[in-house]
Amino acid sequence: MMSPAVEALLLMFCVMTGICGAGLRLTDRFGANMGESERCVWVSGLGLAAMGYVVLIVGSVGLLFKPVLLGLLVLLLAFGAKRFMQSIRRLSSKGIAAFRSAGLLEKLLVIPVVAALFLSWAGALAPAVGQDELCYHLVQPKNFVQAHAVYAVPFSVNALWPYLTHMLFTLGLLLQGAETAKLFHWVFYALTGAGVGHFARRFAGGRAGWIAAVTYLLTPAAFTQAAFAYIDHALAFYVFMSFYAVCAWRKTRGQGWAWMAGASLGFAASVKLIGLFAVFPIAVIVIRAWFDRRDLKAWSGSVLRMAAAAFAAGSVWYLRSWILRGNPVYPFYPSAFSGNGFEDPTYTGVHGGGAGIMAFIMTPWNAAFHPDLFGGEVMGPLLLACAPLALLWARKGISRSVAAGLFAYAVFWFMVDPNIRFFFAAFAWMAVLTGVAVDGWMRQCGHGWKAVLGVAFAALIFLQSGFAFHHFGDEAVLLAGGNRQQYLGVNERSYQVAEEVNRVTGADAWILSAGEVRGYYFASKFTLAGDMERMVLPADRPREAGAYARYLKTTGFTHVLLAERGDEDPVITDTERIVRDRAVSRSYFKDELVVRRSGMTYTLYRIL
Amino acid sequence: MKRWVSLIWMIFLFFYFIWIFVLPRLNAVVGGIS
Repeated sequence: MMSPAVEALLLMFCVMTGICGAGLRLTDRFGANMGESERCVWVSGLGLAAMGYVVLIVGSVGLLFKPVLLGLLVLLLAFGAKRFMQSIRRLSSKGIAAFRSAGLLEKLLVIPVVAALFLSWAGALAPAVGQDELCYHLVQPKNFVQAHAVYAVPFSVNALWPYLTHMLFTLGLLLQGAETAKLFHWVFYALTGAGVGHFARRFAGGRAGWIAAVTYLLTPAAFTQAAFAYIDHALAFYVFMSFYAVCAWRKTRGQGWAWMAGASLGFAASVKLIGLFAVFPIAVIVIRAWFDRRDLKAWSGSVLRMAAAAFAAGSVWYLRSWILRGNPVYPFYPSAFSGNGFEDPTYTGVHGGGAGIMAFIMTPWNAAFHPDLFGGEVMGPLLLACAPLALLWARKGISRSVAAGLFAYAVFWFMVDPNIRFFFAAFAWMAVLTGVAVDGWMRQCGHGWKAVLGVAFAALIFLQSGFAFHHFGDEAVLLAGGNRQQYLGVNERSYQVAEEVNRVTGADAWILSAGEVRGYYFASKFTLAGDMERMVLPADRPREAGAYARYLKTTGFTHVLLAERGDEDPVITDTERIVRDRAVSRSYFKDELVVRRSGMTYTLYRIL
Repeated sequence: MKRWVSLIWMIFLFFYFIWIFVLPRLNAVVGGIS
């Protein structure tokens, strides 16, 4: 039997061959002003978004069955495979020639890049163990696959968020499993690195492009995150590509770029709500473009094209949430829209080194040296060491636009939720600045200084790539033939608990969980008590044990799972308060299973 | 001048990162590194 990692690899190869080949074939007539590899990045990114929408459409009509999606994949392959292989042949011969003519530093950088790509890829092919992927990024796709439909999962706060990447996760789960879903995110990581490189190459030359790509790919937070089924690289990709396209539009005034800028913006907003922030860097460039020529008719025509493309590519998620929940960005901003039972404001204030202008100015320093303030992922010293050098070494042109885009995005990121994962698009801009700075310096100095700079830059790069070995050593061993069950048993607290619970409940149960948010490995439907209680109006939800048990039973729940660390556990939900009071609740909730794991006691109660 | 400023900034961040970030973590794993 084929291992899940090999299955996932083969499947992803087929998907990307089909998407990229079909995209190249469809754009052969229009792509004359782009190089082949640049076009590969663009058509792959836009094609993945299109595929996400295909899954959404198929899922919305309840046809989410393996043969349907496999059939579509076969058609895509039949259309694009030949063109893709042709492109691979061309690009590999060009790549070899470029490597031969490259300088020593550029050649040397291949080693850490390959190592980081390989190790994060090994992480992506390992079983899912990340908090958010087990909490919802993979849980909602699992619900969709089980129901053969994309739907508003009951009592789920997040089921109606913009889920374009989750549609790809759904495809991965349907065709194979979590490994393929995770690999989609890794593909976005690699594509973002390639996009950053092509942008810098287009505006500042080949060496700047390579250094920018390497810088993005070797940012520790970027390559560690790539191994999980999160959406942050997809977000960074579409945000950055919308900026890429709008800069190219400003230079060429080609309407194709205007359409692509709008479409990428729409896709960014389809990946995550904060993708809407991409509007601000785009607006900065669009406004600057007005002052270049002051031709109202041409300028407004392009802006309208961007807006139309963005609306077409991204509005469906917001309209869906508005119709079904009364709030386009549910559950956020309940004061501006309807909270629909949800009264919490937003996550604002959860992360960051404080508010105010000084905290904003200190953000790059704090992100590099105090990652705990920003969610824990490590940015490393390279971006901080090199991006500001663009002030000294870069030619003005593109570095001004990039700095303006970076600033516009960073301000809104800082004000809403300064989590470093949501800052990957800014890493992309900073990587471009790094590329143009290092390249500019090298152009302006002799061999001696060039060697000194090369050593300093390589030292920072190798220092950062060390994190890949630190994070993914176990996963590399696993890829070479380790035991996946054992890996899960050691690395994932909920796995063995779920195995035990699955034996008792089967797949038809519906568990209400308090204290454990990781639901992916539970075979049955899995709802968080915190979500359920906040989504039901207080007047509709009984607080007394008997009435509460009847309410849960008539709603469809069959079990309650409580995860407790000890007697001193704070009571957060009504579910915990009611079920823990055994003197009263034993008549309504029967304890069926107790599992102890990772210092937690999990008790499964059947609702009587 | 700007060459020296750039180089010193890069070297400073390299060693500062090792000192404030890498060494404490390494110390926690293997112990005995001061």
